[in-house]
Amino acid sequence: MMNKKIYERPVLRKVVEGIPNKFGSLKRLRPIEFIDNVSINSLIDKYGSPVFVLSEKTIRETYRSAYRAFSTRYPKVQFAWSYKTNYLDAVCRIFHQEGSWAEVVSGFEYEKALDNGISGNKIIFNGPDKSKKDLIRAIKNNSLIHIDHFDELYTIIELSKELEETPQVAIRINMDTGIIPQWDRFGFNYENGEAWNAVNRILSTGKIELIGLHTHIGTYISTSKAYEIAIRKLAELANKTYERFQTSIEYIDIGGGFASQNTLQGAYLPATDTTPSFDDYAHAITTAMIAEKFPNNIAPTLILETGRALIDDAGWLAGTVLANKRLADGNRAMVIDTGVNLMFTAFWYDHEIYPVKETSFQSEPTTIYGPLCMNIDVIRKKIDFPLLNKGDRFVIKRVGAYTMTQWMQFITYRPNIVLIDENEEVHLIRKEEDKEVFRRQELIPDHLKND
Amino acid sequence: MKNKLKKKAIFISESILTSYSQIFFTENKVLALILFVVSFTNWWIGLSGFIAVVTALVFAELLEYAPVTIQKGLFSFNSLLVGLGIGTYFSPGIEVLLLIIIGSIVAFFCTIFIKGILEKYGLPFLSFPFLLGMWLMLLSFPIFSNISLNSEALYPSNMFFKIGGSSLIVVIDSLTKFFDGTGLYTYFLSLGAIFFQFNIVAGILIAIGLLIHSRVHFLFSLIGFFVAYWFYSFLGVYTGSLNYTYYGFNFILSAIAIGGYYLIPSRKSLIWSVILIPVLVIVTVGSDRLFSYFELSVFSLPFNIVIIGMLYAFKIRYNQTREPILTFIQQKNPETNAYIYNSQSSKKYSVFLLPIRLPFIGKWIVNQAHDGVYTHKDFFKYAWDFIIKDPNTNKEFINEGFLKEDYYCFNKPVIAPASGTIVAIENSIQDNEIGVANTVNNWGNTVVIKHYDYLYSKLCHLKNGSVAVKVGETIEEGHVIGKCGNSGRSPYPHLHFQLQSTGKIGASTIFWPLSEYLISQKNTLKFKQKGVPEINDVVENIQVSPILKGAFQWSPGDLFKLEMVSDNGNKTLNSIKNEIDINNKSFLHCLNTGAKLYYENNGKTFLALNYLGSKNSLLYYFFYTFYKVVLSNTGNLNVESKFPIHHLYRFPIITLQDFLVPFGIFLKGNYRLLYKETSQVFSPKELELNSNITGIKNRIFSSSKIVIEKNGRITIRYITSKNKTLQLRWENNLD
Repeated sequence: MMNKKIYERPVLRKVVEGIPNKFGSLKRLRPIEFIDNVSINSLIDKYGSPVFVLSEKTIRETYRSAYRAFSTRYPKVQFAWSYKTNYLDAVCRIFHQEGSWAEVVSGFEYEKALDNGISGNKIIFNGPDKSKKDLIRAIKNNSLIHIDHFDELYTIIELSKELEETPQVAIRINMDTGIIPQWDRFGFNYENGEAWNAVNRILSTGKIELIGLHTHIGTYISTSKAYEIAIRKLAELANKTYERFQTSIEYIDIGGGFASQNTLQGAYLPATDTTPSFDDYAHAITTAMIAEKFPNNIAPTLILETGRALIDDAGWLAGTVLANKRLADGNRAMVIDTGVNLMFTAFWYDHEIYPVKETSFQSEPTTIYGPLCMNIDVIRKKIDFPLLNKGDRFVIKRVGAYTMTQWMQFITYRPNIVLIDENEEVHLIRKEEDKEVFRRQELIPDHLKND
Repeated sequence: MKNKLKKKAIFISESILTSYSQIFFTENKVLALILFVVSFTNWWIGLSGFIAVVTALVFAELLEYAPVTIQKGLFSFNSLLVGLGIGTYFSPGIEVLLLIIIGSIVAFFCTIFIKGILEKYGLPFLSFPFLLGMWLMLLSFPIFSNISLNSEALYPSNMFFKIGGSSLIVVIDSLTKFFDGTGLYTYFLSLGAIFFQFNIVAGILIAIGLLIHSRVHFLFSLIGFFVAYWFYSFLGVYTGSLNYTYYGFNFILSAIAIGGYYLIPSRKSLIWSVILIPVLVIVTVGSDRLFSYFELSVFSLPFNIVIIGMLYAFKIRYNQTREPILTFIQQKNPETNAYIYNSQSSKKYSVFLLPIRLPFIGKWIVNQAHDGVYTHKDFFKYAWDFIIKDPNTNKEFINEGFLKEDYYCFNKPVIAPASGTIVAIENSIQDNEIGVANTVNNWGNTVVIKHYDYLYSKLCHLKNGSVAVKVGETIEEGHVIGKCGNSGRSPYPHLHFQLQSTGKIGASTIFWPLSEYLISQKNTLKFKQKGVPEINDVVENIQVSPILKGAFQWSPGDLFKLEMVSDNGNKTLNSIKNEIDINNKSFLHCLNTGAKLYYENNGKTFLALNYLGSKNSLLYYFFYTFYKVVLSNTGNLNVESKFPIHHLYRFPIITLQDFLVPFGIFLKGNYRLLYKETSQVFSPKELELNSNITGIKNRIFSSSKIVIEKNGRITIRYITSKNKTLQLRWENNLD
């Protein structure tokens, strides 16, 4: 039987880019039909459109390669899963199963971590916003509290007296490592002496144990020099602390900030070619850690809070084309059923988007819009995209990080999230919202009630 | 002053006594006392021996030899034998007395001389000095006309009549009648002959002393003698000749020496001692014929020759891990040797004292082990190749693996497996492309580290230019020495690791097990105290817990308080001092009772080696609680070990076991240590552990709940086998 030929609308297309030859260059996006051998069409058929898809296999593989990169270079390595990147319970539990701790930045995340079965002493409590209640709980659970500012430190000093407990804390430090922009809004500055001041305040109370130093020098950093400088400064501080207080720093938290392979808008080359690998980061960081001398020659544990680079690749967003348009400037536009409400990250990434089925061998520069009634709802500006018709399906790659935590409920319900496990079985891990979800949250004053 | 005198008196009396017992390879006081008394059944012989001992001791003191060696009677037991011999041969007189002193001096200097020669080979000097001294005396005596032969020793009845009158004679006669004609009669005579006492009473007394000292020795004395006795009759040699020659004891001493003393008593040592006896019989008969030309007795010559030969043969074996095992440290008796040896967690490898650990960070997999299929053959068979694999894909590279950078292990740090000095490096050989092997520079970039005399490690195929150490540099264990690469005979990146006995690149390998590592199996980690990683083992080093390390790291001279509160509120306090003995062995010394707990701390394991002395010391509970502590709380590490059974069982069951040692150890002692998860991961305030010791039928001997605090204070809730609860507290005594 002969397959029915696909209907293709006629287009005029200028030959552009690529190595010139007789036919120009063939620019063609290969469709992606399957995620871990599960057909995307079947997922949309069953779970609706749009639908987020997570691959357990990718999560585990990525984590293991990251862990291997560090643990074969440095004797004491611990990952802490950055909850804010993706705090779906199923996702967190996969990381915890792999041996990762939890890194949380709020009471909400803290509660989630406990619910996911991680014990209090394996939770790193970060961020500038920790309420007194949160702190009390963290102290009682022996969590590792990373202090961000003096006001928080004062609260902890007060609490240590009130509770008669000895909290274990680390301080977050920002510093000049030659990287611009300098992230100086978090933690205590190294160069102006705030950090040393904080160490002194903490240890002279005798009520608080300083066990770690935390820094985060930025993202996308692949030069070992910056890590060398950062780690040298931390080691200096650790040595100074030991000399004055005979307190050993037990761990260095180097934060995260490892880039995923999503291309930032405005980048010249695709990120798949430029993003440093885990091995590159691991090499830079561990070389610096090993080269530095810490008190008593004891190597502190290296903690990593990598989020984005561990989960981005595992997340997919599949959806449906709503309409096609021709814009005023003659460019083509396509409206799809996922907007920036679900894809907050579209503001800074050039997301890779693919058709699910082969529809056309021709592509045309297209702007992809979301369904929101807002001008800013652009998913992708100017992508050479094949001509999809209404009802055709697409899939967006690398949407595992931040999308499912920073998404907004706006004019519609948030969709289903499914997880494909290692046996290629599909599990619904977050149900689509419905009106009951919102009805439950809302209260109507008596005078507005209809009956 | 008084104290000093008392010390000296104890020293002298101990030195004298051990000179007697040393003949049976022991310092046991009871046996020594029996032997001393036995030697005095004839006052003249006893006196002769005693004078000879004192003479030798005076000389050893004059020359200021090591008090420890003097105290063990090692300088004087040969003189004792010469003294006893002269006393037996010649009748009392002032001239003979002088000759005894001279004979003793001869034996003493022979001891020094022969000890000097044999010690280099790690061999004992046995009774060679006695033989030289005695023969010299016997050869020279016919010249001295003022000396007459002692006939009394030939007629023991006269001797016994003098001691105990006719009643003693009756007893002895009935004893003789009872045993006469049986081999036992000859056995007792032979035992007595060791002390030149040809009578059954001496033999019986010595046998009792031997039995008290060691059941194994007693058993082997019987085995040695009766195998020889049977062989004599088998060959048609007149067994009665053993009744009047000084030969029977050769078999007894040899069986004791091989079966129980120089070898750890076991089935193998039993077989060897049985094999040895017929050889000894022939040596005895043959040498006797030879020496009769000189009118000399061969005395213990056959024993000396055969034992030295055999010991040397065992000593130079290439593989010291196979049974029979040579005794490394002599405990109070051979059964104790066997129990302590048997309780070691990796007894097979107990001769490999220096810990060598894995030369990398994280989990690597053994790609080629000992006797490998590719290159680990013949001279290079004791080597390992390590790579990194992804356990899920079972691949060692990403992408297609066409580039060396694709390989997980490439460019990963390689660390020193133990502390040492860098003796050779090679750092300028190009890394190969994948699939290409450089057979010109076989080892590629290499680092050789000297850890100890004749113990070097070599790490090969490192990345070009990655070697981060210099020749002559001293490094600590774990120091990064380079990066894993693909140079030399390496078609794909891997790390070659071997131990060798010289510092040359290209030297052949030697067998040496690795210490304290974890093997990943599915979802569990298996701890190995000492072992040889096998092909496809996924291995990693253990991490040390600072709190545990701190709690068991003591310096010589450190003082501790060990306090106990029992059920009924009784308090006991012991002062404990950490000391080092002349053999560089560390021990905890209870200053109240004198008890000693010998231990070893190799940085990753605290191991109690032996407990000596009073069981009333609180140190005894410490020994039970901390028999073995791996200083790590990695994952779900559980420590299990055998516990020396002589500390657990009592008479009569242990006595029965003592006799059965050469056939196997049937009693059980199992020590177990469980680590509890700490409430704080970093710098925890305290660490909780549980330990217990169980025996046969899961009988519980002791169980302890342990809390170790950050400052090193340890509290133990100790439950005895009788269900009594004791509270112990161990802390640093800073005042």
